[in-house]
Amino acid sequence: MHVTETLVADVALGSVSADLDAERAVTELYTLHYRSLVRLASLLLRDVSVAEEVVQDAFIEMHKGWRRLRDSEKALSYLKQAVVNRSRSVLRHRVVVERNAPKPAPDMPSAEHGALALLERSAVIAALQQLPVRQREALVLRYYADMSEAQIAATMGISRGAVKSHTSRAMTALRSVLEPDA
Amino acid sequence: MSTFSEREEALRRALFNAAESVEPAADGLERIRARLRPPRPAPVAWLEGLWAGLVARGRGFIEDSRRWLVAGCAFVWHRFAPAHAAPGQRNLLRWLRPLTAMAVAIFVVAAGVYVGLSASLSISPTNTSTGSVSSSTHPGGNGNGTGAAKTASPSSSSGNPATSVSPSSSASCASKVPQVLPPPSNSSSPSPTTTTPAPGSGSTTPTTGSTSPTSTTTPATAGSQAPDGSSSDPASTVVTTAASRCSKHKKAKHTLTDAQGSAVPAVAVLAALLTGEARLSDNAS
Repeated sequence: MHVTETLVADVALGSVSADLDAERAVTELYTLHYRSLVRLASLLLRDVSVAEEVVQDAFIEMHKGWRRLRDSEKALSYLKQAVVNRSRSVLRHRVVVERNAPKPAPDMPSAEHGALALLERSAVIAALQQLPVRQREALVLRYYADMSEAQIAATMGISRGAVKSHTSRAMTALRSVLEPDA
Repeated sequence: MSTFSEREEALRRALFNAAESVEPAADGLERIRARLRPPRPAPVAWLEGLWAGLVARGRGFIEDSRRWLVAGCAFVWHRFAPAHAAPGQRNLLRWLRPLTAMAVAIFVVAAGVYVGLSASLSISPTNTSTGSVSSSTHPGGNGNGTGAAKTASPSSSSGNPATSVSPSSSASCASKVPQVLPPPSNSSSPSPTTTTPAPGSGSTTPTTGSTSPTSTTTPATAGSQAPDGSSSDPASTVVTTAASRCSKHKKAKHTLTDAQGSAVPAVAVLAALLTGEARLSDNAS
């Protein structure tokens, strides 16, 4: 009986301490990486507000799975992977919506016109947005997040060879867009 | 023609420049924490919404009331504030006008309260119960409960409902008197309109002929012979009660008229004083 009560108390204390650790980890990771994660998501999504929602969802998922992670490094990797996956889901959903939505009148700017204009000032960024999703993800993770091929493979959930292939094709496409006479 | 590394560097620089322009909102952590909190139960959320709505509406009501109060106070102050003292004017006269206005206001309020209280005490139906009627119509008519004796004509000794109420009663009071059916023929009294004289008394007095104590306090014994030999006819009891009520109603009307008659001239005198004071201050200024 006494042993059972002790075990129950330990479990309760463990859950409380795990909750406290999760809260603390969320706060620390937010302070250190929230901005860069939002920027990463905005490069993938071309929308800052949606990028914030995606990153917040990733933080909430990380809080729920903190008992599995229990490490800040693992948590950061988890956050990046969650951001990429959710961004991909958002893009997929956006493609479906844009396919079925009526086209706006030519004199009416769309709702996300400001956010798009912010990101598409650069010709490079504009060319990047024309790439397929996987190639764009590979380039952003490689040249903005400074991730290695292994990390990109783990984040995107593909093999390292696939990462190399996507990166190479993306660079060729960018070159053809930015230097048409080359 | 650029090399591969130059293109990589240009891409890296463009990505960083584009990302630098993105600045997330500052309330991200609060939003995350808000979403991490467990959801509230539906009744609690509903009550919170209801309370917020009530507070929002009550705030508007309080604001309107405050605005009206401020406007009223400003009007009163503008109207009755002490005038600026002229060089040759006494300082006491400046305050005469607001003091007079305040005195009139207090007097009017006090008179209204007095009239209201006296009227409510006089007209209140709880004071016209059967017990009080019984005491007021007791044989002999002593005390102040002589309303029935005053309003009843001398011919009311016959016990006739038609004659027990004085002709001077108002139409409204007369309409309130119920129609009384004559008692059955096997009653102790030989006739519904006559009263058996008391033993030993040759004549019938108006007070004894009107009611008897038993007939007013205990309706169950109505129709029986009273101890003093007077008639205890139920018809006469009902008529006497109605007459007593009418007399009390008239008394209340008299009270109202007296109060109004004493209050109205006083208000008129004070209003004249106030007007004269206003003229005086205007002339002085």
